[in-house]
Amino acid sequence: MQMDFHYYATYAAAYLAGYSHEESMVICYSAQFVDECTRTYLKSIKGPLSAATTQLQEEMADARTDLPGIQDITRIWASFHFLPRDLYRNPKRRCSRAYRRKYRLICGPNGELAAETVRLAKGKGLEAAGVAMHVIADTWAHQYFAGTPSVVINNVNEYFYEIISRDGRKEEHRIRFNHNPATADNLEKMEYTCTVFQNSEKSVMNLGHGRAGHFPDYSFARYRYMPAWADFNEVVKDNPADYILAFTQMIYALKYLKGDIEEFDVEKYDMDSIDPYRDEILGILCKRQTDVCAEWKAFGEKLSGYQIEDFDINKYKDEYLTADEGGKNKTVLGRFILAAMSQKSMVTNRIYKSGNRAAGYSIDIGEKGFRGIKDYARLLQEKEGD
Amino acid sequence: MTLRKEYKEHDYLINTYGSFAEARNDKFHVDERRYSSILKLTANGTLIMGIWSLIKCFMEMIGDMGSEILADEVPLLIAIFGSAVVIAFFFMIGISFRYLVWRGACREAASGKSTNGYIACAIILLAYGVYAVAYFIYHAVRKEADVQGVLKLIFDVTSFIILCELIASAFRLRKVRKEIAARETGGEL
Amino acid sequence: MSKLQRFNSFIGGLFTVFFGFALYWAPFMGVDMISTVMTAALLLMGIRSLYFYFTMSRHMVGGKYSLFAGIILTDLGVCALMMKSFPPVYIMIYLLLIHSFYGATDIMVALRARRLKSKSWRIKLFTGLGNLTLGVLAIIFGFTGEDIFSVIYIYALGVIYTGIMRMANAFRRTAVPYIQ
Repeated sequence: MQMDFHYYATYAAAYLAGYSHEESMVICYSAQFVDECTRTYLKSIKGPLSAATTQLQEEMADARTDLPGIQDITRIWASFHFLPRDLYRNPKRRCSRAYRRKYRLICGPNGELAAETVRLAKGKGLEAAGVAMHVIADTWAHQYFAGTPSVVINNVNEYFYEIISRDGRKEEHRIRFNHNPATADNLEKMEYTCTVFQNSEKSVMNLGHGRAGHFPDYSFARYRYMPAWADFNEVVKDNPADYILAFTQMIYALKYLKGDIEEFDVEKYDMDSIDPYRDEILGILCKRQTDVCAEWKAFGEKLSGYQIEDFDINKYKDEYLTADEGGKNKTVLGRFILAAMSQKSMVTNRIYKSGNRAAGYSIDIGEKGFRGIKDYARLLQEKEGD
Repeated sequence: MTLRKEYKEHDYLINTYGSFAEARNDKFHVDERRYSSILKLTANGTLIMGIWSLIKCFMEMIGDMGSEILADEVPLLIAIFGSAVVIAFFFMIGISFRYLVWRGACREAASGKSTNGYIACAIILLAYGVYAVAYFIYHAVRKEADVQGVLKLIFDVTSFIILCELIASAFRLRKVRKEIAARETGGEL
Repeated sequence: MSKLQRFNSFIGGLFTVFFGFALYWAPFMGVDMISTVMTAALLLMGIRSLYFYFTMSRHMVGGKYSLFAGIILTDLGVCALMMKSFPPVYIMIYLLLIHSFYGATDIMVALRARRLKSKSWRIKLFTGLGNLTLGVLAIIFGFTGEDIFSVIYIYALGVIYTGIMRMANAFRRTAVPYIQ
């Protein structure tokens, strides 16, 4: 998903869930900031590097592809953008353990980890709610891809058709992918940019939906393709329908985080809240353009009656930089960092406990005391402070 | 507030919530995708293996000729002309067959246009594979095989298997496509 | 990382560092040593590709490419091992490519860091330019033909750096504490 959904649609979801304009702004800022919080950015504010929730292209090109390097990449992408749906699922055919481990990282909505993500954010502030909303939304957009470099899971081939409705008729067109990052996606010609095929399991070119480019992120996208892992079965992905589910699941989850609902369960969607706006929302989602920020913004502003300011990555930077050491965790960025580390720690632990070392080792401090990456001491201190 | 559970659970493969388009994952369509993919892959493999063996042959030839030139055994012009003729000959024989197989198989995999010419070429290449294996066994029995011979055997056996798979998938693909066409028109096979 | 992985990383790094220093001590044997290592690596790549096919890639749509790549790389590795002399130009090309790649990525990261007003950009820019310079030097020394030892020294520098990084990796804290 892109800024249109993570920022503006999240604002609308938060407002529909009953948050005020100001609260909704913090939630949507945090949801979008998940796509901005890189190590390079964290270095600029002297924040803990383990709180990185995404990687720049340059960082990925520079990333090591040895075991700790791959585990680090997996921790970032599986925790925030490609949340695994079922860590215990087996492929239908007999396969090696290494293959099974990768297969189990395939992202999808309504998994146990998605529920845990929302429950984890409960009572941790608006920033944690924003982080959870990003993760939940991405489980819909990124399903069938895994947040780890893997050609055997994430590769796509030329069997990739866009399904469009033209003059009331359904048409299918083969998508043409090119590998020039300088060229913009051409919706008319159905030409999209994607990463180059690399027959290497460790290549970052095979991370997530890189091989299908940005196309799976577009809300209008409806397509038919053959995932590398599906043994020649095809998948039909209907993003407008999925994004409606993502939106209504976000409203439901935000109501739970706000305290209006006692329990959070998967596969529940707050359809009632969007009933008056259903056609309008579907109209935005089906609009065939790469960026529908303006449409979502207009919808959000109509909903709340307030102006939604454009996303500014440095909006809370000064607040964080000028806060004293003890007060940093009380700032928006400080709370975001804690929420991010908490989410990463939880997802890494669940993957590790399933017998999968793809995201590295997890040490339960309750059993073994504080060991491992030092950055997490900050999370521990906050916990003890609570 | 109503929390509806109106959409069925997403399966990993079949989206049941939307009627916009259905995934065609019946046995015939899956098999069609499987065999057309294998056909294209094995066609590429046939060509790649051919190009590689040609490059290797070229490298070995240049190496031998280079040492002869250095030893002043053959005049330079004759060596260059001779090597050009030999390379052209190898190119014509080795690659043209493989190219025909590749072109025919790719065309059949993509558009369904079936011709038997490329299968005939594949069978000729297959016959060469049988000869190569027999040649190795003959040398092995006489205890003349070396490491490079074993490697060549592995290479030839792989090429042989790829060609077998190519021919088999071509015939299977034709059968599956006929079945799909019959089902779509409601006719019997 | 598990204890075994840490041990492997340390020992592997140690051998790599030894190899790098051996090149410094005996540069006259350098081309032969490098060619042996490079051809062995090629052979290993081929075998790894075949292993990858049988354990992972055979489950993948279009995974047979790993089989083809494995066979060709293994064949290439054996051919290279059989070669009597190894032209130093391959070492130069290798050095140019590897140092240029790392140099370019370091510079890109540095420029992005500078845009985000991060103070760490200078170190990255410095290492990036250093890498690029080494790549260019390898070609200059190689093509003048008189200073093949310098090419070997540049190669050795890269080898020692890789070895030290592998050894350092063995001591890195990589586990994520679970705090809930």
